Amino acid sequence: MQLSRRNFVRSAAASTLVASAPLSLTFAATAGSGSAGDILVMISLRGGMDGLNFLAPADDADYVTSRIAGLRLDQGLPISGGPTNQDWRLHRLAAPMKELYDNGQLAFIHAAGLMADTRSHFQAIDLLERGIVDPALIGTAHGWLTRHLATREDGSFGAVAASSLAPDTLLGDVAALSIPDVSDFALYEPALFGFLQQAYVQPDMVSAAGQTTLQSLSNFNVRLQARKATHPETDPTATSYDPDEFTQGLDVVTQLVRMEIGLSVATIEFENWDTHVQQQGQFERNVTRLATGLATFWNNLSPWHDRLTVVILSEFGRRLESNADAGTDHGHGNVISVLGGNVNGGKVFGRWPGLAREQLDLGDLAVVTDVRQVLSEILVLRRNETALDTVFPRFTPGLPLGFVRASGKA
Amino acid sequence: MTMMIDNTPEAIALARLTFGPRPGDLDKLRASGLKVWLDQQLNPPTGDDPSTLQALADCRLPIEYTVNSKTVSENRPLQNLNRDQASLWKLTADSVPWQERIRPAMEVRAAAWIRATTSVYQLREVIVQFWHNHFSINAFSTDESAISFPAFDRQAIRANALGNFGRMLEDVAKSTSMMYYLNQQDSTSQHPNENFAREVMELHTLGIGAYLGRKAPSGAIGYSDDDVINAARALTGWTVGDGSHTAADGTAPDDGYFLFDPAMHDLNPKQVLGLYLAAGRGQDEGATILDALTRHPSTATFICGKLCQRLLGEAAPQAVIDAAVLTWSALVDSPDQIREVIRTIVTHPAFFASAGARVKDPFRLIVSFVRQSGVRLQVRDDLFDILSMMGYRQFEWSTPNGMPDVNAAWIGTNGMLRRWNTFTVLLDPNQGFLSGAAGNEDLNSMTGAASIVDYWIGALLGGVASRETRDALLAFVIFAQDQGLMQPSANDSSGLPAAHRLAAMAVAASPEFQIH
Repeated sequence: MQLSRRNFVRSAAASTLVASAPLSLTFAATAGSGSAGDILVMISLRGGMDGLNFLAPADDADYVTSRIAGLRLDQGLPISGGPTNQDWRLHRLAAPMKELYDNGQLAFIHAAGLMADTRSHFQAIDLLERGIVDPALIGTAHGWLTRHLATREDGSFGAVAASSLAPDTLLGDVAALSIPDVSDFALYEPALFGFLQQAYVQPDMVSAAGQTTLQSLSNFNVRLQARKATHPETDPTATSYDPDEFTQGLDVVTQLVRMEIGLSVATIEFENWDTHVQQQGQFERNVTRLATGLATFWNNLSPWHDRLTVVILSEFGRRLESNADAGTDHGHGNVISVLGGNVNGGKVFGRWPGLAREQLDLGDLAVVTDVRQVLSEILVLRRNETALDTVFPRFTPGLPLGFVRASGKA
Repeated sequence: MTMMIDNTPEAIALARLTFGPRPGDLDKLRASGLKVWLDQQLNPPTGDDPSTLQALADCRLPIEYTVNSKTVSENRPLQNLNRDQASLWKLTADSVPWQERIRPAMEVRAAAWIRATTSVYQLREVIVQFWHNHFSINAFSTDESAISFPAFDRQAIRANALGNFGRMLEDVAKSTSMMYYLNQQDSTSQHPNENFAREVMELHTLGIGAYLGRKAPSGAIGYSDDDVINAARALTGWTVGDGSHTAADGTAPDDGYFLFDPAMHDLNPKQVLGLYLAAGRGQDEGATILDALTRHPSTATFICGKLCQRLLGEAAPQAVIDAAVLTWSALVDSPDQIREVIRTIVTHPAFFASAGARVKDPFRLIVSFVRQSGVRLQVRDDLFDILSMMGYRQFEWSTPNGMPDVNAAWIGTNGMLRRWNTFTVLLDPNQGFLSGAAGNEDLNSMTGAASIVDYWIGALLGGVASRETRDALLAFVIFAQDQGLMQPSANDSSGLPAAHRLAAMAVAASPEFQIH
């Protein structure tokens, strides 16, 4: 059940923006100037998305015999650019994504994922979001996005999680904003601002968090006001999405990009992919929401395509063989989707390991491509990352897969 | 943490082992002494105390829907909390509207607020909150989970909260709400569903620290994917009487209770956690595995670690965890196991050295405000929205790992902002959340910003605030009063004068009120 957060306490929020309150304008110098750098959007499909129900060789004999019909792609959309000479198909409800693929803006990397054995959601997410493979390091490592952002000094205001709690990719980044609703990122009682500034001054964890929040509020809303002053036509409340956490997340990021206030990285959550039981209906609903949401997002941001890179991934794939409940259990390798104005789309990248018994990893699609390889190519080519060994310690990237290109190279 | 806070043993006990002291609680505790108080808290009678029963009976939770041109719109009492499972199970009939199917879970949620704010047996409520998060269920994930949630709350969690862990584990594993949430009810020998078996090991007992060859400190071996798969096979046949499954006696009840269906069970021998399970032991195989998990040393360290984290914070010293593990293991068969583990933890010197070590989770943040200010809170649906905006999804956390229990989780930028806004909303006279302060002559006769500010520092912060905080409070109340903020409204039944609302809002938004 989704209770509506959006409609809540609007009356109390009548005077939403703090810009009129006394502020300490740490970021005022760059307010409104924005950053013309690339914008990375990370969409997490929580629960283990069944990549073999999304993009697969539909005529593969092992595929056909291992899965019930409802979890195969017999009715899927045939695509070109598959990694083998088989009948590669995309889920029939992903037609809006096929259009992006055919237009060369969307690429897939299959049989990708974590180079670790875990089939636990929570451990897989912990490792993935920290950019590590050793569970012993989970307690001490920060998020990989945090390390990436720490290596940059480009005047952007950094990262926004479009959800009420930030994901672990941003763990340790005290400046990361968490904004589930752009029109609601403000103190309901602006007069409290001065009080909070005077009260949150001690050298403890809570006071530090309060100071960061107050500074973020100033920074964000000063930029917002400055942008509105010069671009009154921008309506940050315009939205064409249905209300749920994923589409609200798309909505938040759409607005922030349009405002040109210096967004550098955004994260979006999409839950409910853990399909142990009666997968077909739930999966179809999810794919529909994913494909239509993504296409709407892309269309809404056409002037920004050259600066946008969107990565869609999940903590792991699901088992080749379906279970007795017409669902699938936790698996291993999976598909990663990358959408962007500088993506070499229309192709499935990465070596395909095959689905025969001896080619599987404990019954699951093997991981051939390390997820860090995929992320590294984006960081280096799109975001000029020069300290990859800091972002992904103990990882040596291989030859580029080639799914993304640097600016200026067609 | 270096914040100023009342660090006397009695104040720490009330801050951490209750949802906040009501006016007069600290004096009463000092009069009776900690030991007597703790004995009473660790040994509550079954069921609720009279004032809580009254508050539950007085509660009206709205329900509204229109189905087949029939409209229901009423303020309905809580009617499902004590209904037995078979009676509630009738709500699974196709003709029952969805709002009626989720109603049992909505009522458990409302009752959790009432018990936390009202119950005399506060420690039980604190520990019930812990177990609900440990055995986390999204009660709204399926209709069956929602319908069966009162039985889960009452019989699996509340009845065992201070009792025996093995008993609780078995009751949880056999609860309809958990079985549906983790897809156990349809697991068959041909295709066992691994979800339930995996989460029982990873989240409910051994912990992820025991996964894939990692050894417990004791040297005991952990678990692998083979153990998960074989446990799933052993648990096949554990299901729910929904009319489609047949018990050993040939009956096929449709009553929503646990049922073992031999036809679904995997008859092959299995090996799980080094235990050999001979072929065809049936229902007993699952029970044997749960028993082995209960006695496993990794379970003791995992759960005692979590309890210490909840009660002392992330920096709980290893010595107190070790002490808890000793008690846990010595009493593994005792009906007093959990209460004695808690006694070990909260009488350890480390407990009394941990004042202010915890950031209040959003639920505690609001409940402690209500208890300490002495007002009454109207329990209604939008309270859950307020929690959800702070990232706390009560009985609706989507994944079975439960909500994070670390300080940093609640004080990100969104979290801090929502904490501050929460009290603006709760104290807004147009919102009508609070009542019960009317007629309080102490409040009405108080004049002068300083006395009002000091009154709320007394109520919410135990009289302890930094000089910076007090100065800032005073400046704010004087300024805001000048601006005419928080004027009374016709919707207001709280009886709180504007200056008191402003002082309460600011004190609740202060750094000192965020911790306990």
